[in-house]
Amino acid sequence: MDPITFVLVFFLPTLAGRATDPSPGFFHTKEEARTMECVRMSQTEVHEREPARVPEPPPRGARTPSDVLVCKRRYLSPGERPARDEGILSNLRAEVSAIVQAGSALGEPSTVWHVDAFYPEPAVAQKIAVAARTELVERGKKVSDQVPVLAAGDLSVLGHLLPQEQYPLACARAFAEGALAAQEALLGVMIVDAREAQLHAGVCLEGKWRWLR
Amino acid sequence: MSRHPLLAVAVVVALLPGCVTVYEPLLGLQRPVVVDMNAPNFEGQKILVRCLPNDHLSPQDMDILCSRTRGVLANQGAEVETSVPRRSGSRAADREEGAAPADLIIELSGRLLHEDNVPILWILSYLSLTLVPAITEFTFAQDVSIRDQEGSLLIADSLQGRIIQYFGAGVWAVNAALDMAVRKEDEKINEDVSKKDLSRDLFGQISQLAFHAKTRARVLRGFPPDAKAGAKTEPMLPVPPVPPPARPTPTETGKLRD
Amino acid sequence: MAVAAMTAARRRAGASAALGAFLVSATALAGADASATDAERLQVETLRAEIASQLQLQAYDLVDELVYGWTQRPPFGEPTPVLLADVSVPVGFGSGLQALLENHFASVILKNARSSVVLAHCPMCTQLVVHSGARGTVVARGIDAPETLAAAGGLSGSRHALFLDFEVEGSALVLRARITSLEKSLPIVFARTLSTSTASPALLRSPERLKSADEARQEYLDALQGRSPLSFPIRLGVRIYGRGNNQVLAPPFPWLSGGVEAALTQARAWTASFLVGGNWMPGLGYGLMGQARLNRLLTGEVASLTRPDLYAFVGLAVLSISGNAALTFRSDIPTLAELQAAALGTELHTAFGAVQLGLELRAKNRVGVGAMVEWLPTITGAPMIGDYWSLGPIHFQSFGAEVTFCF
Repeated sequence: MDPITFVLVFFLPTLAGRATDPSPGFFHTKEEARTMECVRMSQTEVHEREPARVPEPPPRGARTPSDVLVCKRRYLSPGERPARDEGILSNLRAEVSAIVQAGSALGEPSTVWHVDAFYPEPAVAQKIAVAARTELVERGKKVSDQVPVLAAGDLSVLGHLLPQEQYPLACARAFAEGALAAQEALLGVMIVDAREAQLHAGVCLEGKWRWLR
Repeated sequence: MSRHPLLAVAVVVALLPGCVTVYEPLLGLQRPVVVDMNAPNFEGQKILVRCLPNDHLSPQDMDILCSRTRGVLANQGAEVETSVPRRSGSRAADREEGAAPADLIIELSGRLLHEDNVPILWILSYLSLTLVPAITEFTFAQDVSIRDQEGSLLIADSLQGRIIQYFGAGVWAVNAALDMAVRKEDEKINEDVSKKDLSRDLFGQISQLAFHAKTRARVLRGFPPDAKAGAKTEPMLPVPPVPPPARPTPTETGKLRD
Repeated sequence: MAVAAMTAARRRAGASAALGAFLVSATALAGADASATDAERLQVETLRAEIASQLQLQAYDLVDELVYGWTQRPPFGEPTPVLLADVSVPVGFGSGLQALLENHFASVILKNARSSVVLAHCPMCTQLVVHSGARGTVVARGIDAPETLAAAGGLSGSRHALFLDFEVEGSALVLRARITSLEKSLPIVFARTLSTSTASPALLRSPERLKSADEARQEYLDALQGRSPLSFPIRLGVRIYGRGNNQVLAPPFPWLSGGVEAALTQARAWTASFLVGGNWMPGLGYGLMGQARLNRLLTGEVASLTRPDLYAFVGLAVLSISGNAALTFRSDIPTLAELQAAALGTELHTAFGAVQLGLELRAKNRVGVGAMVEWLPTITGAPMIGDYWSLGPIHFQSFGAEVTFCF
């Protein structure tokens, strides 16, 4: 058998069989592989979700149960956005949901909620605030699109304080100045260190600040 | 040797190089890392790292993991102790009596999620003089849980990845050619690069998770004064909290607000 | 290393020690910054364009889903003018995508009056407005100062504002929609979060006939399961034979065949067919053929509804050639008696079997194109039949191309 035939018959089919595998190698670069998020699931479960792409598993007992590697491609490649922004935004829904679940236990049913996000990037801060507002409304809370604002003098003082002093003082000032009424609460979402990609939160209610997480 | 050509072929096959190892991050390992692993992120922190062996990972394997993790965290300024329980079911921290409790307790345990090794491929590989590659792959999960000094769970996460090993002269040759002629330096695929990528991802995530746990613990304890760093601390965020510029409301006093 | 690798111990060693063995010490880790070359920048731009177009379709889907939800459960009891105050795109994307989304939303809303949302135009909403009064001077976006805007007549009679916020969160695209009442306290009267992922193809619903994602999925499943296991292919093909001795080339043989094809699994990963066919070549004779094939899907585990499928097949055929064309396949020299019989009008005849290997690209199980090679095991030594390709003892003597239409 000539070498070309040998290669065609034995080597190429095996290699071609790896074309659908998302791992880096002959068909995918490492960067492409890193844009995928993959989990192993049972073939039965995946067949229910995607019958056109995964066949029905064989009858029970015919073979050992098989699982399927289910991959989803991230919209953006690594490095498209700054690491911290990407870390926050990738997990935004889950983080905000946990924060709102913890915060919404406070206050009364008639409490009107305000939300503000404190993050170095204004665009990302806006996304965080919108996510929190939407989540609160979906949980049946009364939410205002307004944000209580402090005087410029207050802000310049607060800017020189540590986070553990900033937020409680800002809460007290907002209540004292009438920017936040008795039946109103402010959910603040922030990061406390530039090196983290997780969100913290606190609630300002009746002039008192409580850290949630 | 010439009287036994088959034996000669078998020896040549046995001596040929032919392993290509590929690492693929599946879940969590490819998340962006913000902490700089060369910066003193854990200055003055006492961290206990416990690596829990199981049926798939022996105490010796976990010794290696704990040792490497200690190196990574110590490089970031932490005082690190490690502990690898030898007895099954043992979860008590092995600490000296009278020693100060650790600020963070990191528990690492691994699971084998999936393994694939088809014997017939090995037979075909041998019969085809390793032109048909034999393929071994396994999917692992590295579970990380971090607790504070009181034992409250701060962070829990599972980092999943996959290792695929191709054995065969054909695969090795094609991969070597691609590495030499086509792929850029950071795109090359071989065992050393795979090890480096996995280490970078795993320790990067462990460092990031540990940092998250550290700040979460501080927030939940109400920002206790950091006695080890001294009374004077700097604001962690250089930018003061500024409300979004788009929503001012008029004041009763008539002053202009930002 | 190779011998050790083939022992059973590798199975456990490879799995269990991998993590420790694969970890390098912290000092060995090194990061490298690479500056992008022009080619890399171009690559990134191309990739951005691809991502943006995929994201656009998914975003349209979310808008369709939102409006569909309003047609089922309207946010207002009666048609209510609503300003489209803001459409914010994912961080990192530009105003081009914003304009496309605004236009699509307007198009869908206009065609779905049952949603109770009547789009009102408000050019002043996104512009800065200044209001001076006894309480002071306020500079704000129009939408954030509704009283000022109302005084200026910029609200066009509408008292509600809609905000659409799109964000990419990993592999999911999330739409957060909220409607705010334009009174002093700006209460949010409606909010909804919708998400889709890269794993779900865009539904591409028609704006005139919106349906829910569940209904669209059910239609898709019905289409999958409703596929009949039987189809009736008609195939037009031609066979060319390898050059024989002295470079003599046999004429190409066209064939027209028809029969039945059955899917052996619901997924159509395995199919089998049986066809009968014939040909007629003026002056050369005619032929009859029966062939059976077994096909295996190569592109996935399930035949696709949306893209062509590639099948590999192996088959057996029996061919009967009559007339002068039969001489092509004879390996012996015709006898005097045979030549006499041919001159008197008696037909020459030969029959032989063939083993086929080939590939066929089938589109939606309607049209297919294929190529194959055939081994004629009983045709050896025919002077006009040579080999195209040899695989050990197997000599492929014929190459065929065909087009198939399935009904």
